[in-house]
Parts: sequence; C-alpha cells; structure tokens
Amino acid sequence: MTGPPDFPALRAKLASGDGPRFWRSLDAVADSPEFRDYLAAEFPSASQLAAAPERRGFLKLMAASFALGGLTACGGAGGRDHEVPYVNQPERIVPGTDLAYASSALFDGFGNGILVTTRNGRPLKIEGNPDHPWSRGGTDVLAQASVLGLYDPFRSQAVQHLGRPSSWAAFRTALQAQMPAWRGTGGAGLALLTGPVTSPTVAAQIARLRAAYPALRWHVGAGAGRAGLYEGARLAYGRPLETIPDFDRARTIVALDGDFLDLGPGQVGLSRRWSAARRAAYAEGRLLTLHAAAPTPTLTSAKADVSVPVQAARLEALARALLGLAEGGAAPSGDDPVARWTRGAGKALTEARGAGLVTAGLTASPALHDLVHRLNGALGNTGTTLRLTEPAEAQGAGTLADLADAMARGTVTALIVLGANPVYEAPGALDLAAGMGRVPLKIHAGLYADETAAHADWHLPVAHPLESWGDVRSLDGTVGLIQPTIAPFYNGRTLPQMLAFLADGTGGDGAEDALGLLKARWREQGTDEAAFEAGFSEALRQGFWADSARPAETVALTQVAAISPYDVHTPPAEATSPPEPFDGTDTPDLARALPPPQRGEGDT
Amino acid sequence: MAQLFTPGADALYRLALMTGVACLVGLPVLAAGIVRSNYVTGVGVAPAQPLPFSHKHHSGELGIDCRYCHTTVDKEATAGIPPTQTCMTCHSQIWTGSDMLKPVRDSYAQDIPLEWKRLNKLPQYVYYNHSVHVTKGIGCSTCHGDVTAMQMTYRANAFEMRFCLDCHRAPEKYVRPPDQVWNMTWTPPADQATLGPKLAAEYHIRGGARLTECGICHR
Repeated sequence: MTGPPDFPALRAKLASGDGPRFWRSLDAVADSPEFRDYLAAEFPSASQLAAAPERRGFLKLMAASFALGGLTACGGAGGRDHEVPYVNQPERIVPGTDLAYASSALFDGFGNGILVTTRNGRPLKIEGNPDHPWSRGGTDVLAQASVLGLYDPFRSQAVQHLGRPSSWAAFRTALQAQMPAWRGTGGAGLALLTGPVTSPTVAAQIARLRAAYPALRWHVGAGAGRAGLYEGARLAYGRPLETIPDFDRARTIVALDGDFLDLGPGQVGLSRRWSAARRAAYAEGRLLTLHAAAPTPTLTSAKADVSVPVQAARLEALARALLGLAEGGAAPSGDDPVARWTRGAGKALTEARGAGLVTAGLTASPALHDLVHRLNGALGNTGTTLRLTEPAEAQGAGTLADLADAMARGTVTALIVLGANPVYEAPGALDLAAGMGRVPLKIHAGLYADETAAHADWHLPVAHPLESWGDVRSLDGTVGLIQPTIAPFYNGRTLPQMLAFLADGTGGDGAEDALGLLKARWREQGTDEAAFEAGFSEALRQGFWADSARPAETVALTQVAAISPYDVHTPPAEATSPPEPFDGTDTPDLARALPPPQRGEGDT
Repeated sequence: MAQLFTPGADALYRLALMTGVACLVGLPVLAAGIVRSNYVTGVGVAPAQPLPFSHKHHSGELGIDCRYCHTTVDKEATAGIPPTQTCMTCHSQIWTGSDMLKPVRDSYAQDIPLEWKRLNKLPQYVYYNHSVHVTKGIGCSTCHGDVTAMQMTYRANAFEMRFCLDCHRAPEKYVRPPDQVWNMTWTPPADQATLGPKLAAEYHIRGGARLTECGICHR
C-alpha cells in the first residue's frame, strides 16, 4: 500500500476493543477502503473472509463439511463387484504388485536415469536408476514430481485451433495445404523454436527437417541455457565444449559462482560424484576442500569449506587474479575477505597443480568461462581433473533474440514452437507476444495450453515423457532411453512424431510410430536386425545405451589475444584492491548488489 | 361435559406403551439379524457367473491343484484369477464343442475378458495378503470352506472382523503342517493342542498381542 501508515490511529485501533486482535499486516489493521479494494482486486475469494467473520456462516460450513465427510462411508464397492482377469496374461504383470521400468527424466532437455514403479499398469513412483552411468541412482525434485504431471488434469488434452477444440486430422489437412508453398521457397520465412535438444532422435529429425526446408531457421530458447558456457569454451578452445569435472581425481576445488550442487541438468550426477569423492578423500585422511565465491548464496557456496560473497561483476577480476597466481605472480595483498579468500584458494590451487579444479556456473559470462578454462590449463588441470567433451546439446541453433528480431522485422511467415513456452519464459524486452502477432501462422506444441498457446493459431498436445518413446542425452553424453509406462491419456504426440510429419507431410495425421522413429535413429549404427533388436531390448531394460558417454576431446587453448579486450577494461590488480575497504562483515557485496531503493545515489 | 376418554382408552394406552418398548428392543435385534443374514453377507449364495464353473468337478474330482489357476496365492497379496488362456490350456483339447464353454472360447477368440462376479470382498480399509497366510500354515479351507465340494462357488464365511480376530488371537488352533494347507477337508487333529504351538513356533508366528495390533490389518 502507499504512504506511511498512520501509527497513532493504528495504535488506537489495536488498543480499543476487548481481547487481543490478530493481524497480518498494518494495512489489515487499518482496514481502509483502499485496502479493501486492493484485496478484492488481488484475492477476490479472500476478500469475503476478510470481512467480519460470520459465526453462523462458519458453523454452517463446518456442519456441512462434517456431514459430507460422513458420506464417504456410504460408498459402494467401488467397481470391486467383478473380477476381470486377462485373456492372455502378459509375462511379469501380476495385478497388485509392483513392476519397475527404466526410463529417463528430463531437465532442460538433459536426461537423468530413473526407475518408474508401476502398479496395475499405472506409474506411481519415480526413483533414480542406480545403473545409470551419469545419475548413479539419484533424482532431483522435478523428476520425483514428474509423475504428478502425468496425472495433471490441467494438461492440454486436445488439438486447438484459434482456441477452439480441433483434431489432428484438421491440423494435418491445414499443414498439407501450406507445405507445397514451403517446399517451393525452401522453407523461407519458416522458423522452428525448441527447448534445448539433446535427444539424438530429435536432433536427427531436425536435421531432416532442415534438409527438407534449407531456408528454415532453427532457434533454441528459454531455460537457464548453456550458451554462455559453450561460448566461453569457444573463446578458449575455438569450439563449443562441455566441461565434465572428475572430482575423485581432485585434491582441491575452487568454484567461481560454480553451481554443480545446485538445481540444474548436472545437479544429480555432479553432486553424487562430489560427495563420493569427498567421502573417499575423508577415508584417506584428507579433506577435498571446496573454495566458493558467489554473488548469491547457493547450495554450492553453502557446502563450501571457504566461501566468500563476491559481486558477479568482479568474478572475472578474481579469476584473473587466480590466473596471475597460477602463472607465478604475487599473491594479492589486503585484509578484506575477498583478498583472504583469493590467497587461500590460490595457494590451494598452486599447491595442487594438476589435481586442482576450477569451475564456473551456468549464469557465468563467456569471459569468465574462458578465464576458468585458461586457469585450469595453466594449472595443468585440463585433462586430469576435468574432461572436455563434445556438448550433449545439439548445436547450430539461433537464439531467442534472433527470432524476436526476425519476427519484429516481419520476415517470419510461419513459427513452429515445439515444447517451449517463450511468451512466458523469454525476457520481457524481447516482447515475443507482440512479435508473434506479426507472424501469419503460429503453431505451438506443449504439455499445457500455456501463454504461447494463447498467442498461437494451432495448439498441439505433447505426450508426457511417462507415456512417450524417446531418447535423451545426459550432461556427459550418455544416451538414456525413454519408454512409456502407460498408454497416452490424451492423444498427445511426441516431438519426433511431429517433426517427422513436418518433414514429410505424409504418413498418418502425425501418429507416426514413435517406437519406429526411435529404432530408426539407432538402427543406422547396427546392421543385423536380430542383433539390433537384442541390443535395443537390453538398452531398454537398462534404460540407456551402454558406453555412450562422449569421449574426452584433446584440446588446445587459443591465443590469449582473444581475450585481451577484457584485460584493458579490468586490470588484474583491481581484484585485490577494491576502491572501498570492506567493513569486515561477510556480506558487503550482497549489500551493494542489491541496494535498498530508498538509499541515495551517492551511496553506490 | 362428557368424559374425554372412553373406558377402553387405558387398554389402548397400555398397548401403545408396550408396543413402543417392544420396538425399542426388537428393531435393533431385527436389524442386527438382517445385517448378519446370508441375504446380506452372501454366505452360501452362489451368484450367476458368466459360465457355470464347478470347483467340485475341477478341483475335487479331477484333483487340479489350487495353484494351477490361482498362481500367485503363495507369492503375492492376491491369489490371482486365471486368465482365459489358463482355461484354454485344457479346453482347446477337451470339450471343445461344449455349449457350456462357449463364453470361454468367445473370450479367447475375441480377446474380451470374462467378468466373474466377485464373491469374497474385504473392505478397502483392510489389508490382506494371501501369501503370508498360505506359507505360514493357514489352509485355503479355513477361510474359503471346502471349495472342492462346491458345485457352484459361494462365499463360505462372512469375513466379519471377529472371524479374522478369532484366528489372530489364537493362531495355534488353526495352523496346519505345510502339506495340509491345500487339504480342503482338513479338521484339527486330536493332538492340535500340542502340535499347534509347535507349528506356530516353526512358522515364526508371533501370536497374541502382535497379531492383534490394529496396524496388522488396518494399515
């Protein structure tokens, strides 16, 4: 609410009346007309409750609830009047007993191995797959909760055209009318937007689609995005690479806004590896120290043995100071927490050359990633405590900003959004909703009829991963398979099915055999059909293709000249001699990063 | 002014009072009787099934083991109702033209399951596991009666809570040697008083307080 509260009036109100009064905010005590209007606008259903509570109404409701609660006792046998056995009992399916299938859970397009426990044909519980080489039996909260998403009644249940229920057949007819024109122009003006793609099958389908429409532009948007990470590797090595730390070979770890323990595609696998390495070190009688510098408290910095808050903008200078130390420079002087931390981390790293590990997180800038790569290179850590591999994510896509730009210029004539919700997730400055208004044909496929669906002409329901065939790569490249644990509820289709239809325009109304598409992707590698089927069955049973992790690449750092512009702006010395001395508390940088709004300009 | 009540009013009044008292006592007794009657519990009533399957013929006369059809009775919580395929293991060879077996053949040919009327129902708040009872010496007939004597299958016991508790309070009165579990005509032998506790110990049955904990059945 606006304005300072009228304290004397509030005190008078609280003092008056008999007995204590309970309140949640000063506005609620004041009970002004503005507050009532605000409450009615923001929480329509709660505004009635905020009015004087009615004893009679309350008692009425409670009595009714009590009576209705008793009704459950009157239920019938609940469909238990008959026994309906199978005609042909499937092997291993015993009514009333558990059966687990190996599958994969998705996080921002990356996979973790899971075991889905089903009973009577219904998936009920998700746990980690202990055999999966990347996730090693771990799951994250999203994987655990994904079984609830399957049964979510608010999932998109039907094809919609202009907000009205339609059908796959109608969609197919409409698209087939468009396709000759697309083929004629090579797909000029056609834009495809997806989430991060690690699935080899989806990547192959997109490649097919781009072959069919050479002028089609593919964009990947939303999510935390690994673009900065890959760009950093490109600066350092000349090509995008994924960094996989091997904690068990490390003797000390330095995290510059590193987030390997925090929620993200790597969390499950990396936190398992870190804790295992930490335990192994403890068994040997040493401590696998973790030094963390981060602008905000994270799980990684909370777990760190030595942690310091540092402004995000100063992380690069910090990395440069560590790089100077690694190359034999002088240790930074000063007695502020950051300088002390830098000395400690630098000492640990230089003492453990070839057995140290410096990491940076998803939100770090490309320049910081570049510096971290050079730091690891200078310390001899690259190739020993960390592997550089081909990225699991399919490369070659444009960004969301490119798409927003193209839409604003009016060069996009048809936009196909598969499994993403850019209108909600994209930065507001891109204004994708307005951009979509300039596109003549907009197709959206997603689990939910969300904000993007509201701006699209066609909305297509996507099948939930627990009812789909598919594959997905983990961060280290291990290919996990996704198998359905139940027949699709709502006639949703998987992304490969939709892409196959978009590429061919033939086949059924998008109902191409999802298992066939998956097998077709992997059959290319084998020759003998029987051997392939046996191998595929074994992979399905395990939940992943064995030994499919990406091998370590041999890399060479590019010339430092590539990063010289950063040196000009921020000389290394700046990291250790900040313009203002710290007051000794642990959170000076946090206070500066988020100055309270009422502070004056001169404060910063 | 004439008398308001005739001399007979007293008798009527007494009659009404006595009827009221009789109802007060009689109606609950009647209601309790109806609830426990076979009409409500279904005990001894053989409902119409999709085909007149006879346990007496198959199990009693031909001697087919219970587990040939109820395959999971000693492994899982549920005993298992046989799929149509199990019927057809024999009936694809014998009585192939029988009218009585037409529903079985139709089910198999058209892939439509047979829908049997369920006889034994426990409330949903009761947990029951067949395998633990069968593997610890409680025979089929203790609960299901002499199924091998049933031409058409019916419910042998009402499965009121008391029925379960009788045994859970004194399992040694009911446990059998392992080879007698499938014996449908088993009656406690003369030396059950000495044999029972010995068997209960062998089966590791912890009777009394442990078996009568609420959470044993109401989990």
